[in-house]
Amino acid sequence: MTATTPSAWRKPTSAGPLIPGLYLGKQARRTLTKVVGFLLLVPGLLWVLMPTVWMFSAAFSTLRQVMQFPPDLIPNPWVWTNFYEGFTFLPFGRYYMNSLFIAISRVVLQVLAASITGYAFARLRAPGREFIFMVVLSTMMLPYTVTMIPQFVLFKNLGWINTYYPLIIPHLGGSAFLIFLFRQFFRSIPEEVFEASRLDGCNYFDIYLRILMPLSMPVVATASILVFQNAWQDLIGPLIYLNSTKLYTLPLGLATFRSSFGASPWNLIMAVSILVALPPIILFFVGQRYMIAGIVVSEK
Amino acid sequence: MTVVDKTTTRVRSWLGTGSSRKIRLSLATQEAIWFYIFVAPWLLAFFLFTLGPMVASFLFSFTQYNAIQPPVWIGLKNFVTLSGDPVFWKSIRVTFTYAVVFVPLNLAISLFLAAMLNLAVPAMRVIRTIYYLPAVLPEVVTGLVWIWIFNPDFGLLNYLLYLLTGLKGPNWLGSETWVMPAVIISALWGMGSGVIIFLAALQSVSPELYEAAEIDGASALRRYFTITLPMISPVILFNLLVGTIGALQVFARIYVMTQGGPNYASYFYNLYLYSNAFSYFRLGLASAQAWILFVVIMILTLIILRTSGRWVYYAGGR
Repeated sequence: MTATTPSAWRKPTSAGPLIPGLYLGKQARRTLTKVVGFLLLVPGLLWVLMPTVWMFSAAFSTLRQVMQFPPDLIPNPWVWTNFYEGFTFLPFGRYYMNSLFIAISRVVLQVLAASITGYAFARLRAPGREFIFMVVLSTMMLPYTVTMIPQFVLFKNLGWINTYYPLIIPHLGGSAFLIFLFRQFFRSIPEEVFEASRLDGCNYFDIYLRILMPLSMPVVATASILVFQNAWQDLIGPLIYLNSTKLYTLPLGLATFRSSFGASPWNLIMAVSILVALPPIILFFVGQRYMIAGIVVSEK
Repeated sequence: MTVVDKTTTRVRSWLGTGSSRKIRLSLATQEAIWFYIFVAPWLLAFFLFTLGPMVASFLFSFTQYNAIQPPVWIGLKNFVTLSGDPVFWKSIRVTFTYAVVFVPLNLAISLFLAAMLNLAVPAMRVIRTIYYLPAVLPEVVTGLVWIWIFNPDFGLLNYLLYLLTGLKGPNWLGSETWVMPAVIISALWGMGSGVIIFLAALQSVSPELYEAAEIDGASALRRYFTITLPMISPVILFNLLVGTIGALQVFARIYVMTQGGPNYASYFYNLYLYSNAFSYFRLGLASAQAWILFVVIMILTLIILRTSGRWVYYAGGR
């Protein structure tokens, strides 16, 4: 660029004024933008952090301190037993295992299904492919309530009420967004990779399993996080299908926690909430690098 | 075994040995067969859990059905009942008010935040993570946290209002006037997912465009409006669509926070649908509600996509 542009063509201090009448050098303007940006970000940070900070403070406080006015952020005394008490008020330990089971099953099922379907849409030519792909995308528009009632009737007739099947099996096909994510990723892999592996004697499944899956770990990570978060916070599914409290998931347990006590024990609720929020937070921290990469890929 | 056999035929066909024409044709067919094998789980799930139920709920919407006795065909009666039901209209008003206020506000704030979070400022990784955090929390948890923040007596929000203005704040979730603002405020807290998608889009805009504009003397604001916004407009469209469709289907947070109250002031569309279906077992009526929502979503999507031609720019020229 610089080589082809004669220096005379370039204006000495390049850009126009940031504010009319105020002329600053390039470096000064850059710094100014940064400072202003930083100043604008900090109040937002407080706004975003405040509820979370409060959650933590309440989880370690006595109920009396939580309900006092003006509120006091620093617990006095620190009550560690809130976590234990919260977990014994209702069998949250059990709900935890239930939620984990459902979420992990869904992650495995949906990531496998979405990746292989995405691969087919990205790389295998077949009559009807584009049409089916349009159908896949258009299901994103479909409100879940349209299929919710007949699914309920179907599962009721199968005797699946009060089991986890209705919460897992309908996701057998992956999900439109994940299929899209994988398809975009597999399309970005150079054709030579496929040609070479075909010449090496791989069939289409071998290519998927041995070549593509090892390459697509960022997308697998992104997809897993998305599915896990989705499954972890699902409330309406468990609400419809689970009757016996033994099978309850965490969101359902938390929702009943509040309604089953006259005065809400906010300190216990917050202690339990923190432990409920922990797995998605940890997953996000671990996978955050991949998530942005995965989303960037999907935009191409 | 068979894999080896297939491979040898294929390699032979590439090398042009074998009776090429016939094998090449069968290769295309083979590829198509593999395609359908790979897509089979999705197709199966689609027919069993999407298309089948779609047809069924369409038919249910013309019946009276309680899941125990067989459905009875009643024609358009469900739709007539709904059109004369003040609670139904109330739920529509609540949902639309929410969508009309929340979606544009959310887009604007997330765009702005994404631009800020794209600056090369120290500690940006940490700041980004913090901004995204609320979006990671389960909806039930955020619902509970906000119930408590909105508590009129010892909640955080009213305390801050008291500190700033000296006035006693409203009974947010217990007031018909303030419950919707409260719902929108709490929804705006969880906007991280929109921000992260915008951020990814911003980072994929090629820096050469900015350099060229800077050399031509364009100011930062000008660059934002003439380069950034057009370049990420497809992503804005995506977030607008996803946001609108999502806003019309709010459920979990409201179920936890207000249960639709007080006096139906936050009775969202899906809350009413849910109680018709699973509290009163009026499955026919609820199916009619579901289809009305579906048609509304389709119309809105079409309108947005049709008008998007005017403001969305595809760099690839598609």
